[in-house]
Amino acid sequence: MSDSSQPIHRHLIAVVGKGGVGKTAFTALMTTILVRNRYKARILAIDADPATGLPIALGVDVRRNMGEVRDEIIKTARTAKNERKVELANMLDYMVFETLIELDGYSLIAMGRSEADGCFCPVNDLLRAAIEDLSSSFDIVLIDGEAGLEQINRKVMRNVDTLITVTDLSVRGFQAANTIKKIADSGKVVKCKKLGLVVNRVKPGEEELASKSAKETGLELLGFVPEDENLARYDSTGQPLLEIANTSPSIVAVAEVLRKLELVQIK
Amino acid sequence: METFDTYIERLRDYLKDIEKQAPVLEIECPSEIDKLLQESPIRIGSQEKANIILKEDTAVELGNPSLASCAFILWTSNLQLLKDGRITLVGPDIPESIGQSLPFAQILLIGGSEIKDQHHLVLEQHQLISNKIEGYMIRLAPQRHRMWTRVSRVAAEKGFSFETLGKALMAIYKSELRMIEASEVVFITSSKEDIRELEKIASEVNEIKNIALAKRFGKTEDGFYECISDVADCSVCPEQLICDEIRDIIRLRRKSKAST
Repeated sequence: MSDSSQPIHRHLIAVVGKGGVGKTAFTALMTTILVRNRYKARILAIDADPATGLPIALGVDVRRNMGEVRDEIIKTARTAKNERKVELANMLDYMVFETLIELDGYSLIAMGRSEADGCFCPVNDLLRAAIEDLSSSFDIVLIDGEAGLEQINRKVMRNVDTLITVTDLSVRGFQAANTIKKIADSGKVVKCKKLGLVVNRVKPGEEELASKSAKETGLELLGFVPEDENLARYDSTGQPLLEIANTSPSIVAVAEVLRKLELVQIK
Repeated sequence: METFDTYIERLRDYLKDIEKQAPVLEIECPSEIDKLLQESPIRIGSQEKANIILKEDTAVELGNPSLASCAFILWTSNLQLLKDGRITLVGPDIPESIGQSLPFAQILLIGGSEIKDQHHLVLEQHQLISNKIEGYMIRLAPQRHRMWTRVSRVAAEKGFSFETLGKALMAIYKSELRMIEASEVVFITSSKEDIRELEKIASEVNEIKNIALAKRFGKTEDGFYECISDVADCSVCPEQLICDEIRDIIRLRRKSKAST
């Protein structure tokens, strides 16, 4: 990782995949490894999944989310007769900073959902600009997205360095991976420099099938994450994944993915 | 103009009351900009965009939303009401508060014979000078008169104190806004209760500001709204963006009419 004498290259990673394939647990494990091996890197995790599971997996209590900020901006812009643009801009920076949760070794922002009716593209643009601004102060930004890339593109970021698609062995999971590849290749939504696939919950004996299906997507296979009963236990008891042992099979596999992406050098 | 003269008086009364319970420090600083900047331990001036200061890099936090915070500006054309160059601090200073998060109030007193109602927003906006002060980050919510700031470890190690901040504020204000002839700063970090007291003044000031600014657009006889501001320089007007956008539309219309 970077030390204080080297220029720090900012790395943006988005993790997407069909709901239910274990994407959030994967992102939580990535966060855990990065935090444990971060040296001086500043890490920001963004929960951009409307189903919002990342904070729970990390054991974080979210008080404010960006959806609320968005609603407040829209409300203020609608009702305040004299609200001046410049004051709204200030208020946005203040509220975004309130939404940032600073923890041990990393920070977290939850995008949440918005109650306000309507699309309000300019508001999305505004919030996205604020998030991009905020991210520029961090070295590694990890975004937990959803299957469609629209949420990320509209509300979080337009360009990332690495886009990781997570799937399990189900047909639907791989179908979603195919769709994501098509969308990403078009370059119109969430431009990325590197695209990869991670196959999750692989049981012993299933590796060959997983490799074959992975190849058919045309995505670079970044690795398998084995079925891990330890992880399942953490999940069902609601224990934060940040506490999982380094030797647990799932985290070992995720560390390998990060090593492949050159994001960590684990001794 | 004397819009806020009574509030300056109220502030003085408030400070007299507080003196009875909390330590008050008064620092007299020079009036001239270069003298104010002379011995600053940190860099002051136009820099690149300031990055946020994360918790791990923070030496002292001021005005976190979970505590109390209050920030506003009082201005007057009567220079007698101010003590130019004075910094008043009620409560602990920064070097003695390393690692702490304090309640925070900042009141800027500005004097200038040419200052008018329409200048209020410009004065207020300049509170966001964090990109000009090394190691100091500011988040401002003006309509709620709240200010949340952080002093970085690096700045604290260099000796950043309220004297540093006060001098920087006065210097920046005077150099950016020529109409300012005198400036004074009050900082309060003593307690949440002390700051709550100030919020009453702050919300009244805010109301007055809103009313005064609404007058910027006057209705003409034909029923149209017109900018009646006598601020000659549009670049200091916060509404410039709107005006520019409308001018763009006018230009586009002319263009499309010309081509038909």
